[in-house]
Amino acid sequence: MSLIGRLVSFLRPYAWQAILGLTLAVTLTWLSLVPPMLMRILIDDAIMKHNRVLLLWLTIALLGVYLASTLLSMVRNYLMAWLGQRVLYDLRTRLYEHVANLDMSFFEARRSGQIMSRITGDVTALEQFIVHNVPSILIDLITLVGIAIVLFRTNVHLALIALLPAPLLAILTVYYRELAIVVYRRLWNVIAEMHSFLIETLSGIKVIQCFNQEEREVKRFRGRCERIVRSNLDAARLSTLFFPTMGFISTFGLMLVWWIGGNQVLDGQITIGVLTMFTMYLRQFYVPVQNLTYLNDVWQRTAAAAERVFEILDTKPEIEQPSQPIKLSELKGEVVFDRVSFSYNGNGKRDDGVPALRDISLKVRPGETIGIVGRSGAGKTTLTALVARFYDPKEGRILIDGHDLRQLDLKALREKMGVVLQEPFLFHGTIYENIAYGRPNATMEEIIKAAKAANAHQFILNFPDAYDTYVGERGTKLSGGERQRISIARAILRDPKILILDEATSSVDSESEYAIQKALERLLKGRTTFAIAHRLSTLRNADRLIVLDSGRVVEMGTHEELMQRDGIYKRLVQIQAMLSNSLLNDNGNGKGDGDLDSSNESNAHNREGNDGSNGNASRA
Amino acid sequence: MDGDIEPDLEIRWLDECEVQVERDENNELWLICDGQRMKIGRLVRLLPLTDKSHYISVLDTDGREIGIIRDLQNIEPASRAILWEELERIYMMPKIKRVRRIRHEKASGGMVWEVETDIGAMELHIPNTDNIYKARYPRIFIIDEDGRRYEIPNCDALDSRSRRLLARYF
Repeated sequence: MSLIGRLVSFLRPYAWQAILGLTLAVTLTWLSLVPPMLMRILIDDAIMKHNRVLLLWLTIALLGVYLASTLLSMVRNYLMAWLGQRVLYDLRTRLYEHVANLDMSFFEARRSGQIMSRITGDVTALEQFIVHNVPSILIDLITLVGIAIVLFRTNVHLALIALLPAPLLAILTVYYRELAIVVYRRLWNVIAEMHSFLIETLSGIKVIQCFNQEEREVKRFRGRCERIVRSNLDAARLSTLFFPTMGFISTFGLMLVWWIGGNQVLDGQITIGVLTMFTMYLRQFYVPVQNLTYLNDVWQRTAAAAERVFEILDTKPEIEQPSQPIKLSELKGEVVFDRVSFSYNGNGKRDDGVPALRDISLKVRPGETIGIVGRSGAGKTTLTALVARFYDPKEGRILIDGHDLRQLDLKALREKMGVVLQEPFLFHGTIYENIAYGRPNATMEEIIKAAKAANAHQFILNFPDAYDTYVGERGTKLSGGERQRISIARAILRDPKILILDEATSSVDSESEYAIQKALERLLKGRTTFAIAHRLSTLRNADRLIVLDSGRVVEMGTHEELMQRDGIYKRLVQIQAMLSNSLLNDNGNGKGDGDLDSSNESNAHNREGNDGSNGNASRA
Repeated sequence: MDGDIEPDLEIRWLDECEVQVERDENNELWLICDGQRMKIGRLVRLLPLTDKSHYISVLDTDGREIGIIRDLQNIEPASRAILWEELERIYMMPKIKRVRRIRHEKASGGMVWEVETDIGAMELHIPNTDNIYKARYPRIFIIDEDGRRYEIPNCDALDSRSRRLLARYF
């Protein structure tokens, strides 16, 4: 389907409204052709012949035409606004729905600012084109044809003179088009870059301030704004050169008509009314001509926007639901890695060609807890990402309860999975809504139970609004430990059979870690768990530990078994013990396991409720 | 450390026993449940903004949760009246009936709302628009700079002038 056809297809659900809008537009166009005719009669037959009755009727008729035009314009404008909003809604939601179902490699290859720009700015450009520009083209064409017929029927000689500038206009338009493509693409790119920059720096504002890098970031931002200014000025230079030139050429045609038509009036070949009508039509004629040249500019923007939007809509997720998915009625939780290898080849930013996992074979029993250990970049997170089927193995296969992961119903599988990440992500909403996120129909009783099991209920009670407390964007009104416990409550409520803990306790202080560890112990019971942790003490109770190095499993066994060997695990434990001892010696008291206190458990909020009242009570 | 590490994971529903609440001469509240008499340290509405009469947590004087009342309707009338009175005292939240004027303070970036509430005319000092909670629109909650809460039960039902003044915030 052509680009225009594809764009116009968004109007299909609103075909009747679109047809009505177009009919109104055509009616309005024809109405706009009436006044010059009436003006001709008014001048030639009423004024020149002193016919007052005719003058009165013609004036009333003109008023009627303008009144009808005004009323129809109101109806049409509202209808078009309605249609525009519906199409915009459809475009945005379809794009977001598609994006939400794309796999990780898509997001790794793109900056979120770029995606945002497409969902917000580009779809608006498309809506503008579909709802406003497409009807305009049709109306302009109708106007052009209608007026051309009237002009040629009135005076062929004058009509030909009036059309003299047309070839020049066409040549200039083609030339402009070539230049505009380059300029507008560059402009979009620099705007998208600024969006990405803003998202990145605003979310990392703490780091920027901690490192005193405000000035540097402001300088970088200025640089980006400067590029936007330059790109906009390039576009403005092109436009300001092109459009007034086009306007002048059009006006030149009109001047010729005044000169030659004026002489014809003086020679008595045509009446003054005919010349007036001719020039009135000619003004109306050049408006659509100019519109159609502007249209080229609009089309460049639209084509660029459509290219970007359709690029997303045409992206097929690499992780697809199988044609005949197996839906496990009950998941036991056995996970088998069968000679699994994986690399991020073709997966955007992480495409370094080096295999992230090599020939992994591992059988995990239902309910078993597997601790995953290794240096940064060893492949720990990748291993768990394959279990959640964020990626598919390049070689080998993963079996869940004996079935190839690729054959299982993806949604049903993920319903049975829970994830607790190092940086828990809370949505802007209440604590209640965040806990219930994975099971929106959970009862309050279930939510309280989950919060209790996650050691969260007690601190929630201390908030003035308890479970109705708004956590702020990304949960910023809570401390790190509190956020983590909410995310554990969320996982508990989901009741997963397979659980992934990715550094779940590494970003909280030791006191919070203890509370979280206790909560996790409850969560782990009866679930197959993959736990990644740098603090090895937190994995001591795992049923089995696997040590990854450069994507391979190099050691496997219990803590005691691995300590018997002189391997990576033992060395890591010894290094952490040394760190721990050095802390003990330095401070006289220590935390015991090499844990460097991140101290981010500061009260991120005002705990007004500790005294048994909220703010209002203290006032009362 | 906030919170017990080994809390009682089961919820004790107080309305499942014959619960009674008394107020003594010192204005202290006492809970009598299953023959036990315990001093109430604190009452907490678990959903104070969305469900005022359900899920009331009763805490002892050490801040430990004695239990939760699922529904105040399950409590015998005299005790219910005492609990309701105490809860309304704790969670007093004036209802805004009309907005007279909104002033913006250039220095602080905050704003002052001159409003009429169900307990009289007030001036609310609101530090920024983040303190206006619109998630349950048309029910709006406002928190002033001292943490006091105010409610507009239905902002669409306000008079036209109030709606016009508030239009830029909702």
